[in-house]
Amino acid sequence: MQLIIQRHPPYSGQAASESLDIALGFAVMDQDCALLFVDDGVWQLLREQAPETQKNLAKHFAALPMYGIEQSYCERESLAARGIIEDALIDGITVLDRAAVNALIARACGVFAL
Amino acid sequence: MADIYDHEGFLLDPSMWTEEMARDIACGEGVDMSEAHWQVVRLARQFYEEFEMSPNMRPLVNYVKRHLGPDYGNSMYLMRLFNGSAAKLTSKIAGLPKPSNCL
Amino acid sequence: MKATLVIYSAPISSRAPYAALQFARAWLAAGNSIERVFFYADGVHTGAASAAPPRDEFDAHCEWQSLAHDNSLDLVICIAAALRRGVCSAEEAARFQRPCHNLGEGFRLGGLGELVEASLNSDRTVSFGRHA
Repeated sequence: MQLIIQRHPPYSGQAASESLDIALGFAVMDQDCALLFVDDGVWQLLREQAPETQKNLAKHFAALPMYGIEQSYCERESLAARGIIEDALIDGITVLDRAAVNALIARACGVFAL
Repeated sequence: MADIYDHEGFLLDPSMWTEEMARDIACGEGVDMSEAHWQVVRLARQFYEEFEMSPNMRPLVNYVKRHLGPDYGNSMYLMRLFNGSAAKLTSKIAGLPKPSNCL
Repeated sequence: MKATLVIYSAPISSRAPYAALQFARAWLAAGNSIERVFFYADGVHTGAASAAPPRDEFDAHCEWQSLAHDNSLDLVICIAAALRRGVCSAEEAARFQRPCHNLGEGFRLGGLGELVEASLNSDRTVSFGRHA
């Protein structure tokens, strides 16, 4: 499994979407991959997003199952540090504590963390 | 005409799209629009509205499969409809941007 | 062993292209091979022949060009990331009707699929830098 780590906030340059593009790149070539949201990357997961000049990331994430990307994970400690409750997140995100996140990274055969 | 389309013939503004335009673009690509074509083209537009991106081949297949079932949602069927270039032509006829360069 | 290198940061704002170059030299000297070097995000600036750093400073563009020349390396600049940032080949400049192009010799534009493919064909994928 290729693990793509989303750790940048949304709508502050191209980081979030260029990182997502790597995941889509693997997916369109039929490779198994998953997304992991940590640090300020967890802001990308908020349900209510209304960007004015960039594409809506939450809508992009809704397309992931169409690309065959079934698994998206988020670190519990990153949410807690930012005061974000799980109910505020878009659907389909599995919240893991740090130990499980470490295990996930260890299990991945490739890690892309821009 | 020049400023409605980009250098590759993709519509610049998806909201400008009309069915008549779609017929013209299709015609220029050697595609004669049947109800089967319209079904897929409309789904591509729905995909764009839902996810804010043009579908590449894999998501297009899955999206068509989700809405019309596996008889339609498979690459053989879509490739036959759109002369072997399903993702690119579907977006073009649907007035959407070309599916991402990088992918 | 075979490696794919990915560079995410620009020469001007990071040492990623330099660190990657040092790694590549050491890797090759140890008898390994490099499947492809993929420049992504701000890393695409490495492909700009129009950058002219002071003569006594490190010139990432030229150093990569010469390493690639001596070892027949495949240097790929991500096309979508490059076009966003003003790194452009003659062909793309014509296609998008831009007044100039600056992609240096020894580099070529390619899609993310080339990173995916190279990575799958390699024993290791090594990343340098991070997104700004």
